[in-house]
Formats: sequence, structure tokens, C-alpha cells
Amino acid sequence: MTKVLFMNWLRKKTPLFIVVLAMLAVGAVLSEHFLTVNNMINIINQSAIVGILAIGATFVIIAGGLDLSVGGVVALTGVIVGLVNAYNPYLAVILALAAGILTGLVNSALIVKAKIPFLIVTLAVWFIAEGIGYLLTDAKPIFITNNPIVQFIGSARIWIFPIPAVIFIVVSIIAYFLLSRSVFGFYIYAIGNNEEAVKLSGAKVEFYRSMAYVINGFCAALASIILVSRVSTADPTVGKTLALDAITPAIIGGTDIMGGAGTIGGTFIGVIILALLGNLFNLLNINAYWQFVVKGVILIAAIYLANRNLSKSG
Amino acid sequence: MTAVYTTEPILELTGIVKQFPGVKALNSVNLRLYPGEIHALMGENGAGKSTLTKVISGAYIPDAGVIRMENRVMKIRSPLDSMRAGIRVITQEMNLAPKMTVMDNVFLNSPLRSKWIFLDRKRLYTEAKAHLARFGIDLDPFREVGHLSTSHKQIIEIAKALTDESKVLIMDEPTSALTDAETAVLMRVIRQLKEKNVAILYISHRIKEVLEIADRITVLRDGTVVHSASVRDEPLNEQQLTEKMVGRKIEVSLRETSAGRSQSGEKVVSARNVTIMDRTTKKNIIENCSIDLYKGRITGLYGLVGAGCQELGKALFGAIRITSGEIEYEGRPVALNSPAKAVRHSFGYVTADRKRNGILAKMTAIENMLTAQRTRLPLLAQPKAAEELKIVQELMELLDVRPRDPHRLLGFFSGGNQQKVLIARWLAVGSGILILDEPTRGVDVGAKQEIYRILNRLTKEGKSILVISTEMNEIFQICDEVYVMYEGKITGHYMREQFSEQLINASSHGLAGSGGATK
Repeated sequence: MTKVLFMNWLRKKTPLFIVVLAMLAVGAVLSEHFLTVNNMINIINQSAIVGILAIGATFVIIAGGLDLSVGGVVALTGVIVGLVNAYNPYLAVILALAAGILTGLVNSALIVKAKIPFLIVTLAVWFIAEGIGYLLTDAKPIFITNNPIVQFIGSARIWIFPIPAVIFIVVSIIAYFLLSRSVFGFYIYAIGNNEEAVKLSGAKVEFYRSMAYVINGFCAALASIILVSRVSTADPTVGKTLALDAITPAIIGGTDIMGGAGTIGGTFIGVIILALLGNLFNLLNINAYWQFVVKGVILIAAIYLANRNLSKSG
Repeated sequence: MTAVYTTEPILELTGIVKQFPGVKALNSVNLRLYPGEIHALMGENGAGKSTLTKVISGAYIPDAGVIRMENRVMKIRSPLDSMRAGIRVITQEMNLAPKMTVMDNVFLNSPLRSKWIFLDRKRLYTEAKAHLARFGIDLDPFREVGHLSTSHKQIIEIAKALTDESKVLIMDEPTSALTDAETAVLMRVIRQLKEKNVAILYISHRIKEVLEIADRITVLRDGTVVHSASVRDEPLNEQQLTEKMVGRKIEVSLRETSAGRSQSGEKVVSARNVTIMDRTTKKNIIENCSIDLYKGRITGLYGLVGAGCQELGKALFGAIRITSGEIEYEGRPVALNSPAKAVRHSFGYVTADRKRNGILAKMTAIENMLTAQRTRLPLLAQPKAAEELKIVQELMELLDVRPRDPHRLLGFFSGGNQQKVLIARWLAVGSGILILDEPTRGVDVGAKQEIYRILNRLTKEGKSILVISTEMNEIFQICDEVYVMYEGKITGHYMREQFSEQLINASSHGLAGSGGATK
């Protein structure tokens, strides 16, 4: 059965794989340094932050929501690492992760219990989190020194793999099992399909909806720690468009913005496509601003093709 | 009340056929609407009333037949064609913009413009006020529509439909959500329209109401016209009309005589004096309802749309919180404040609105059947695919779900098979009590009988079943006993041997002389 599902998935994702292969081919022709193990690992490593955010976003979107607060949460949790580092470097990281989970809980409480639309809640939480980050730091970056975890993530390797790449891959695998194999994941899909129906089946829909935001909050904190580690600096102004950067690869990878459908594998490919794009543009020496234009075109093309496929099979 | 005989029909349908997969919804239907006449279209649920309306409104294109408007053959291919011809349809679901004002809504389809693109608000205001006054109501045009009563909304819907030259007005169950007082207002408006020579097709299954207002009655049964005559030529009383609607098709029931059975079964669920108050209107949706469910017995809950049967069913499943009263399960009071809790007490619920809150259309039959069962598993468990597949295949076999493809998305199954999957959802989790709201709504005739057979078989396994239905025939076919509701109260309770159309019908209209039956 797993095999059937995998083959179905492969078939649905054929256009994406073609895009990836085409990019690899173009890159290989243009530069001998492109299609090397080192460059491929580098691509995964470079996309770790957006990748982890995209995986968190995948949970939320499949469950029928959207989380705009991610930028604020990344900024705030980074600031927490920076501030607490002076007292205890380990506690700094733990508190940052806890803060990520906490923002997820705040989001879900306001959405599930207070019944405020998720776009409004997460937009507000973005502002609030980012604002607190500015208040705590006076909007100035904090340099982080002598934090073994930060140093480890920033510079160590496991065999040939840099730590951010390892974290990204591990998170992807755990997310895959959680979403595609577990009872938990089943209900995430189910409430994205028809929340009322699932409620009438006796499932605790509020819990599942909340957990999607909590997972996303945790992912945001994790991404933030990697970001901080890379530059040994906590920058409170880092948030910006991160939430939208996270959603983009999930959507390109086939996550239904209306909820109920999507896969971690798809999101992973979406992340890789965007990373390859950046890498190719560097190789080709194209103005980086073109990346935005092409990203937009890919986004629309991906959805257009997906819709066409759907109407064909329906 | 004099019907106009001399004029030509304004709208004439001849030989209309409309086929859906597995069911002939309309079988050569003829219908004539005359100006200044209220023509009632009656029939049970699924008789083809709505389909016929949709053919006239252009929502469906008939497979065969001719539509003539003022003696000219007309091709209605879309709602716009129908609108242009002067046909207006008012459906059960109102198409109002709830957050806009009364005047905006009245002119929603034909906004008054002055210069350029700007709305002429002054004219809008005065004309809306004048227009509504024509219908005998005085409403502030600036009020937000969402806050109005249902009858006022209904009247705005009518006012909206009749802002211009409309010749035919089709009203589909306009009073189903109205109180008696509100209905009276609406009736007055309808009579005024009649005087203005509008032809009105009035669809309802409220017999009393129809007999009061109609000049001509057409009865549909299983897609065929079984009666069509002016009330002056062929007067009908309540009972004759009921017989025509239900027909002689009340088939031999699948249930053996309930004598013996009804005494032997043990009481499983007992609802005592259940009352539900609507928090916003402070009105009781249901009031002091008490019903019992027995092991191995199919209990019916019959009432017209809006009588409160659905709400009582949902309350038993914890989907609506009860305001007062109590529910006992196996003799002990239980607080069913969420479906999750009800499921743990072995309740199962199949909704009347499959599409909206029943099926997960984009998920497979397996996943749909196990939606309830998986709540029993630990959160991080990986369901064992092989075991689940076996359970699902057995259930598909048992309920004869077709096609027998557990990996097929449920949205691609037919209505009847979707319904079977939803029933299987509860069998997979071993529910002992099944609450089925309109179990055969939107399924074809063959599947209907199959579902009845399935329910019958389930009682032999000792399940308690509550069937909520607005179809008398369904009650007769499968129920051992029936509770009848009217305006939120239980107005009758009959055992199988006491079943009579007249009695149940009377109770469902809150008529005197019916009601309290013996146990």
C-alpha cells in the first residue's frame, strides 16, 4: 500500500522532478562546479532555514490555516538566544525553542478558543513578536560568543554534511513520518479537508489545529537558531518576509493553499527548486533581482499545472 | 379565491425529462403556470420538485422536453436566460449579502446609477423604502440585512426578485424557516403578487398552508406528475392530498411486526426533557423532548423541516449542547458535551448534509471509513495498513460498497455509496447507537432499499438506531416506533401497529386530536 501511495505521489510530482532535472542539466552544462557532491550539499545547507520553515508551514496549511507570524517568531527567538547567552548558553537555546512553542500556543489559543480568523491572529502575533524583539534589543544586533551549540551548528560537520543540512534532513524525515504515517498526520489532513465532518467523527479537531501552529512555532525557533549560528549574531530585524518565503516552496511543492492536501516530499522538492534557482543564477551571473521575478513565475506555473492535472483526472 | 381560467398559460412545460446517473429525476413532466395564479407544487423529498425548479431556472438543462414562455418556445440554457425571460426563483438558501444594507440588497441585481459609476444613494433609499412598502412592510433601508428576522429577509429576497418586470415567481419552501406569524406576513405578500398578475409556483410540503393559498395543485411523485388540477375543479382535503403525495407505494416493510420485539429490547438511551435554547434569540429550538432508544430497534423521528428533529439528533450526539434536561446511557446520566464524548459512549452520527459535514471528498474510502476508528489509536501510532485494509474490505463487502476500491477518493463514489461509507465509519469503531439524519437523502431508489436492508440487519446485531426523516414513507418502511415533532416539541409517539399516515401527519402539523400515544 505504501508503494502504491509512493508511485501515485511520484506521478503527481513528475512536472516538479522534470523542473529539478532540467535545472540540474542546465547547471551541469554551464559549470563543471555545479553538479558536484559539494555543491549539492551546499544547496541543501543553504536552504536549511527556509526549508525548516517551509516544513512547519506545510503542517499549518494542510490543516487549513496559514501562519504569518513566522518572521516575528524567528526574530524574537533569535533575540532570546542572544540575550540569555550571557547567562547560560545552553539555557539560551532551550528558552528560544520554548518561546517558539509558546508563540504557537498563543496563535492556536486565539484561533481555536477565541475564534479570531487565523490571518488576523498570526499577523498580529508577527507584529507583537517582532516588536518585543526590538524593545529587548533597541533594534541592535547582538553578537553571540562562547556558545558551544551555536558554534557547533555554525561550523561543525557530520562526515561531509554541515550541521544545518543535517538538521534540515532530520526534520524532514521526522515530519514525513508524523504527517504521512501517523494517526496525528491523518487528522491534520482530515481537518484540512472538512473540519466539521472530522468533529462529527469524534476527533478532537481543536487539538490537531493547535498542534499544527505549535509545530510551526517550534520550526521557526529551530530555523532561528540555525540563522543565529550561521552569523554568530542575533538580528532583531531579520523577520521581514520570512513567513511568505516559507509558504512559497510548500505551495510550489503541491500543498493546497485551501488545506487538506500536500506532502513533506513535495515541500522538500519545492525548497530544492528555489535553492537551485539561486545557485544557477549565481553561476550564470544574472542579477539576483531576477530571482524574484522567476520565483513568481514558477509559483503561478506550479499552481496552474497542478489545477490542470486535477481537472484532467477528475 | 377565483382562479383565472380564460388566459393562456404564461409558462408551459411539456414532456420534461431529466436523468441523473441511476435515477430518472423527472419523467415527462407537464406543467402550466397561469398569470395571477398560485400554483402549488407538492411532493415528498426526492419527488423531483427541486429538479423541476432548477430546470425552469436554468440551473439544469433538461434531457428532453419543451419550455414555452408566452407561447414561444424558449431555450433556457443558464440562469441568465431564465432571468431575462422574466422568471425569478427564490430558493431555500437566501442569496442576500448579510453585511450590506436593506437598500443595497433590494437592488443587488440592478443597482440604480446616476452619473458615471456612482450609486445614487438618495434614490436608492427612497425607492427601496417605497418598494418594500408595496409588500406591506416598513423597514429602515439603512439596516444591515444580517440582523433582520428570517421573514424580513425572505421578503427582501422577494422584493429583490421583483424590482423589475418579472412574470413568473418560483418559491421553493419559502416558509420552511418561518414562524406562524412570519408565514402570515409572507402569505399576504404572495396574495398581493397574485393580484398583480404574477404567476407563482409555490413549492412546499406543508399541506395546510398549500390548501389555504393555492389555486392549482400539482403533485409529483418519483419524478412523475400524479395530479394536476385547479382546486375549484377538484377540491382536495388534507388526507386526499397526503395520499396523492405518498401514493400507494408504501411498500411492505422490512421490519417484522414489532409486537414482541418492542417489549423485549432493553433501553439503551433515554433522553429526558431535553431543551435547547438558541443563545441569540432566546427562543427554544427544542423544548422538553423525551425519547428512548432500545437495543435492536429502529426508532423514527419524524417532522417537517425546521420542526427540531435534526437538532434533537445532534444533541444526542453532543454536537449541540443542551440547555436543560438529561441524557442517560445504559441507565446512567452522561454529559454529552462533545461528539468525541458521544463516540466514546458508543454513539455514531451520520449527517443529513453529506457534502458539507460528512465526507472527506479528497480522501480515500479507507480514510473515510476509519475517521472515527483512528481516534482510538495513540497519536503517534502508525496505523497498520494491512490490518486496516482488511477491516475496510470486509465492511465494503458487508455493505456492498461499489466500486470495491478502498483507495478511490470518496468524492468519486455515488451518493448512495458515500452514505454506506459513512455508515461503515461507525461500524468500524463498533458503535452500538446510530443516529442517522435523513439516511437516504440524495441517494437513488436502489441504494435506498439497500440502506434499509443494512439498517434492518444492524438491528439484528443489537444496534439501536434513530432515523431522523422528513419522509413518511421511510418511517413506514423501517421504523418500529416513531416520535413526531412539531415546532420543537414532541407531539406524537406511535408504535408500529399504530402507524397511520393521517395520525402522523396530523401530529407533525401540531393538529389537535393527535399526539400522546401509548407505549
